[in-house]
Amino acid sequence: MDLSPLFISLQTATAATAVAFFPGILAARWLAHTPGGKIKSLVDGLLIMPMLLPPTVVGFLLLLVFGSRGLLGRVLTEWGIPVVFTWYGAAIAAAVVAFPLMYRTARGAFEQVDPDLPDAARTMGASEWSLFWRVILPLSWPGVTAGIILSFARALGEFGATLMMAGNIPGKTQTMPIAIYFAVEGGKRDVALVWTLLMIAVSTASVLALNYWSYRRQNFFTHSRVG
Amino acid sequence: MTLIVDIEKELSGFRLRVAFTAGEDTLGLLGASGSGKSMTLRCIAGLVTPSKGRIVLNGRVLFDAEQGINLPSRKRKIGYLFQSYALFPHLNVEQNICFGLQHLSKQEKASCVEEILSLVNLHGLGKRYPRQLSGGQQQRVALARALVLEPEALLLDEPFSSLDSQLRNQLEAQLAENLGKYRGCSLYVTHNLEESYRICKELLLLDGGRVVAAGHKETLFQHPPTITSARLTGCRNLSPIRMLSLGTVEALNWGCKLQVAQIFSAGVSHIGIREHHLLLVDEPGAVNTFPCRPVGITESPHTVILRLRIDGLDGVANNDDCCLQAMLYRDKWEEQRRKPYPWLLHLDPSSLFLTKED
Repeated sequence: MDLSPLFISLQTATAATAVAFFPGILAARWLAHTPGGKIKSLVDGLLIMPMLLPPTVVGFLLLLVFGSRGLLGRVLTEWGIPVVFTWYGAAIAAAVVAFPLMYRTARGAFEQVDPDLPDAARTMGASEWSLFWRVILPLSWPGVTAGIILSFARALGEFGATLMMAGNIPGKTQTMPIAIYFAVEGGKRDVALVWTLLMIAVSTASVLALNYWSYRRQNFFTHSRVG
Repeated sequence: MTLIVDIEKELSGFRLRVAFTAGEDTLGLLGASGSGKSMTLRCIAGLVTPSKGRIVLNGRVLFDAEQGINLPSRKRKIGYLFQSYALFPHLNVEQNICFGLQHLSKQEKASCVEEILSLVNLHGLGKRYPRQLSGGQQQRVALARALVLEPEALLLDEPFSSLDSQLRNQLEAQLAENLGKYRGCSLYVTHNLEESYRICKELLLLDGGRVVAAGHKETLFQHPPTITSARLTGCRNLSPIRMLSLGTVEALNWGCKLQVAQIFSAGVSHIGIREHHLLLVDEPGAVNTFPCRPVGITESPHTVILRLRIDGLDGVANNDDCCLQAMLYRDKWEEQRRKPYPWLLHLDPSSLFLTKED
């Protein structure tokens, strides 16, 4: 049996998580701790939109942008980096779909940080950038890690948008969820079953890792005080 | 060392308007919760931007609304001791103290930490994490962390509010000592008037977002300029007055004529006396001495607060304002309670103060 879907899945999910990470935490930082201004709540709505829309809608919108006639796609094709029907096209699709999970989880974690702590850092001479890396991120790290794992799991399971962006090219863009679909369609139920079991194994591992981290987080913050 | 503050801040349903100058002596900001004390500190530290006004520290303009100057917190050189201490839980004591010393070398940092930890009596605790320290130790780490940066002003926001009272007295003395060594402006916010009296020399009384009185603490406590400042300094006996003649007034709520020692000044409208200045005496006939009866009592471990009503007070409304509150020590109370009614209440002319409406 060809194991390439496993590796393509892991590769695209890892790349997608990395792509979603920085915009995710920066957007989270920007929108955390701010009273509900109209512009910010609109931005928040837009940022979580990929999670609410059907993946096919996301996929079609991505095709409009990255397709050979799309705004970005045309430029990228000229530079010799076509996106559609490539593994990084799959990674972009998965990143867009996983982004809201990264952003929302990180924002929740940032909002848990006592606002006196960044204020204290400010009075001690820290810039906004420096206090983000030295105070807010370390204190939210368990929550941010949860965001990374959730994004990874979501990217791994991405099907609709990926299929529209990257198609089903075995050995090139065929990820595990897509392999399952086409195996069933082609009547190869035993192959589909193997991929299904593998998917379950990888997802379970992600959930276990997530639980481990949230356990660590609880320990970190509720450690008993002296006096 | 001068900090000049003259700011306004509009918030929904609240308007803060404060102006004062602080020198080298610790200035206490005293007021009930919601009076704008902490907001004032946050404005000075640059954590909140005032709507109008200016803030000048040692000639350096930190904020000026008209000139559009608003220095960010990190450039103000102002130390802030938060009510919650705001120690970074993921950093140990040394790392907390070194947080603002990134520009120094490793050796310089180590010697700074050494020096400041011995100043606040926390030697050897550098490797501990905040959660492994007691509340009092956390407070001293927070103070050390602010002082190590040699701030030009130090702002303390109710530093004792999260400690139990036993620990308080001991720590208060230490804090007062450390503040005494500090060469810079210090502002001390509290709602506890005894604490403010012990720690500060100058006081600023805040109520509803504005300054109701300011001055040397002894003057403020002896002659509160307004009835609100009298209440804020803990005076529970206040009555409107009618002038009768030079040196004599009628206290309208209490139903008595009183001789006062203080010279009348323009606009005085009320008279006040502190609860521990009211005396129960045996000899009738002395000046400002009236027969009275107790109408209520509140007991504390060492003292008793009596609510007393002067006899013959029929024409006036029968409410709490008519009562005078007197504080007695337990032993005096045990004696007094056996005596027959009416008791004799004496209001010493030199303890009475005249004050005006805000």
